Amino acid sequence: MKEILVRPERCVGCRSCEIACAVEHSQSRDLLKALSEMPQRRLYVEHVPEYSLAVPMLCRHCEDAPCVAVCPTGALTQDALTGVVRHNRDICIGCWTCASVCTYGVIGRDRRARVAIKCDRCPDREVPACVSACPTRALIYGEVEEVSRARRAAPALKFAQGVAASSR
Amino acid sequence: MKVDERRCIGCRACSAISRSISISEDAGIRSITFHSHDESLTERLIEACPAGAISSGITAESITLTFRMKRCSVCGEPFATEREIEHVASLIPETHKNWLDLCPECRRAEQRRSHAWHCIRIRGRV
Amino acid sequence: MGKIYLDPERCIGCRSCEVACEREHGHPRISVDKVKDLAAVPVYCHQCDTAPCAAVCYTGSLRLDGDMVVFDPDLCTLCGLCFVACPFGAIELDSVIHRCDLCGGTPVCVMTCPTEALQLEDIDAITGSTRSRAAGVLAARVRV
Repeated sequence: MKEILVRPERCVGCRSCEIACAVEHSQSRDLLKALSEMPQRRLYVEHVPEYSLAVPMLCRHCEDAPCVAVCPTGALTQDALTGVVRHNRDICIGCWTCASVCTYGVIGRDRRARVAIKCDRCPDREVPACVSACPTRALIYGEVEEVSRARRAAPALKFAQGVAASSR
Repeated sequence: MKVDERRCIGCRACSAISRSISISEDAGIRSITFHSHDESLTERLIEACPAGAISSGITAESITLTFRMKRCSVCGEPFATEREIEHVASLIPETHKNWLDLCPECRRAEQRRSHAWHCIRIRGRV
Repeated sequence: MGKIYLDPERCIGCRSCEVACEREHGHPRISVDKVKDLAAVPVYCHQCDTAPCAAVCYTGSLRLDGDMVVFDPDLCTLCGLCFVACPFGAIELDSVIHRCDLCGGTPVCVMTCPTEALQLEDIDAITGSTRSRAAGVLAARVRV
């Protein structure tokens, strides 16, 4: 299953992802028209000054998600196949138990509808809006195994070069 | 006063107002008995009924309405009449988790269980 | 105005909150129990933003007021529908309704809790601080 993976070292803190998320979830789906709707983002770029880094924080659709476990009404459910955690606004009672147990603090509050608001992995899109919008590819959409494999390539190469050099 | 047994949901409102209305539960059945009584309370009873089952009029003899109670799907204790639950379900959005099938004590236990599970997993992290 | 939030890792099951609540109101509105011997968890009213108890209350005795659910005992008919409608089982009913009302702003359970498992806070402040703490942890592990 594809996941949204974050490479914070590439994040420049532009927040294009946040804007794209909000626009994608607006009625008008257009940036200028969306301004009057005041749609809400579902991911948050956090600045960490100690490390001079910006870290995009988004729903990890955790395996055996705690938010799903504690939801008293079943508004939060986890798809058995894809692992995506879905939030049903019609069932939600705005109790915020999910928000209080979320380890990443990425469940927000829709103040007008008085229900929770969280990442839905953009079910109507091929690639989630935040990933498409990211100019530095700090957010990538891919299978975990493929991304890990790609990451292994560079250090493996270095290792091999080191071994080759030392055996001469 | 008159009571419409098709509308009555078997809640506790009227018995809380009038001493001539008694309520009891036994073996998963709630019984509400309307004894002939003081008509001065009829207005209050009409207002207090959530189902609009009470109206003015004369009922000569006492009548008893019985309601099957819903048993908690976990502990089996009866906690509300089936009609009360239908009434509540009609006023709130549909739910997946069928928490309405649980008695309040078991709902509390479920909250505790899910929080405890979350707690164990956090503690398991280094 | 804040609501009561639980940090489940901190609850030690001492029940001081229950005792304080009972002393304040005559009947506790918070209920602590253990889950086997793994953890202890208090259950209380969450002042839900779209509370089912308020949805079923036909007299307006329980109603939404800003961020809170407020209770007017003069309008209560003791029908018991709120008792059935609360998904947390946080409302109890005998001759009156027993439900947390945050003690009017300074909840005694929060004041009494020895481990600060219960806090009075705005949910956005809680998620905000959790998020920045988590971001700090992630940032520390990034190899630039």
